[in-house]
Amino acid sequence: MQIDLAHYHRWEGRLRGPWYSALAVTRATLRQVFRRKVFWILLALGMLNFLLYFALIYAGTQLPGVGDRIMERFDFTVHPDAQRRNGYLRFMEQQGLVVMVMMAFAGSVIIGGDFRQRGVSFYLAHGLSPWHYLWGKWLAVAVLLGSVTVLPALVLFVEYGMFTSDFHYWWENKAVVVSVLGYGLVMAVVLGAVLLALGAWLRKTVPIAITWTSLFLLSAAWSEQLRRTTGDPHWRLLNLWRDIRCVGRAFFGFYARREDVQLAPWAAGALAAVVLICVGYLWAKLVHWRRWE
Amino acid sequence: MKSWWYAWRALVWVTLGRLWWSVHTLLLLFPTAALMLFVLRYRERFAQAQPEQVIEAFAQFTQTVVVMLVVSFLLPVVALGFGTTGLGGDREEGTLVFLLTRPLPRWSIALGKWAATVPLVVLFTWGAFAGVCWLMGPAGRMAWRGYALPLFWGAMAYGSFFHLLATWVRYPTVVGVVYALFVEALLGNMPGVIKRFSIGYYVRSWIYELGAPWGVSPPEMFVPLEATSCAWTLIAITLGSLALSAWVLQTKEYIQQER
Repeated sequence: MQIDLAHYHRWEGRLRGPWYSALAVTRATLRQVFRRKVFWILLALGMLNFLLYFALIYAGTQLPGVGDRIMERFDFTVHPDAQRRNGYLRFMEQQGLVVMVMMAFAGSVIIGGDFRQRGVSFYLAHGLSPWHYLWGKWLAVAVLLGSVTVLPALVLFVEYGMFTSDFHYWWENKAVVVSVLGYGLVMAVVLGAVLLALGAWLRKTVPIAITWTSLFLLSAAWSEQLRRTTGDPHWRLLNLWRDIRCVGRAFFGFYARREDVQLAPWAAGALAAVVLICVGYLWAKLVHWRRWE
Repeated sequence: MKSWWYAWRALVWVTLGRLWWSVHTLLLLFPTAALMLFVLRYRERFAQAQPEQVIEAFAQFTQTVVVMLVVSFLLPVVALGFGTTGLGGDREEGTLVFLLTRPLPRWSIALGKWAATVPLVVLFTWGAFAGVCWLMGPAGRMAWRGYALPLFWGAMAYGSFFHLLATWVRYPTVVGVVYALFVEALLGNMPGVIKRFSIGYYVRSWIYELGAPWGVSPPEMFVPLEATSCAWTLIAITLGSLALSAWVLQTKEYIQQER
């Protein structure tokens, strides 16, 4: 068979650095996720909250008097209040359940399948280092996370601004964009690292889902119980989800309690430790894989 | 020549062994252990309680541990771990086709997988609940006597429903994860009758009615059903799921997917 028939040919485009190869990994990974119908069902379910707030903003701007009361009833404010809390932060925090379920589903597709079916070897055989592979996979997780948290929050922000009479709303509240992106980044870094590590370790959907949910639900129950029993608020740092919220809220400048302000640096440290452990595990796993498989 | 009963029994034992000696069991033991450690700390709150305060401890234990952690979290996760992999594991690993070529009626394969899976779900859940209740002391023993039956039928219904998913859909584990984590959590806490799509709702309603004489009350927006209706609904879900899974396996054409 001629080599042309096998579609082998020289690369004729512009050659770029190896970090760009991570984009190909991201693209291939996202394609695998998007081809699952269940992902679209999940995304649709995850967008219910977004649709609610989308309709709320529409009603709030189009029905003078009544609209404000509706938004107040749902505790959604488009302007930061005295404590710098606003509806966009509220929306992102409410998406927690969606994020948890979507990540539980995506873990085995994004990375578990590569290890289960030995696809990692193919990635690492293409002049990619483990870092490029991890970077590409992490970007895929970040895109999925952003599609249910950051992107809808920004759409809501744009929507409200479009229903006002000028561009002042966007200009006056431009910090919201940075805050939303910052919160999203914290979520993506921490959840991405944990998910990739769990996916590489457990590989299959059900074990990942069991561990993932236990990690978030039981750690919350545990940390609260220990705090109540001992009276020491530092036990709350065991709750990973709360740590993410605590650090993410720093971008909004909003803290519900004084205790959260004190815990924020500790929470950042705890998250950094978790990320380092996960990345270290992934690195060791990939190096071992490249050497022995 | 031995009858099909021997083959069917072998299928049950092999499935039971594969499910029990799996990574799922090990992973399910972690949250169970964490739950028990949680109760060890939790009971310290009531360590100094007088005998008449056991009732209050029981009410709080019901709300915090039985409803929030056992029924809403552990029960669906255990059912997910075992229920979807009994038959779904064969499907995902591509070994179902070998199973279907055995000289057994297809409906009996569904029945055999169910007979291996659902008792495991029940025993695991009961075991975890018994351990938690034992650690809790007198209030826990009250809870065991009161709530063992709702948990039994809850585990049966969840296990059977996930078994049905395993026979019906191509990716039962993924659909099961979506149901257990999203539908149950979302619909089960919604106002109105929509929460009746959640199996956990019936278990919780039953528990609330059983605990009502001792001060256990449902949350504000939760409108419970009568215990009798809950019991019959859970039995109907169990038997209906079993019958439907047998019918689906009997009639559906399974095509080996490219892996």
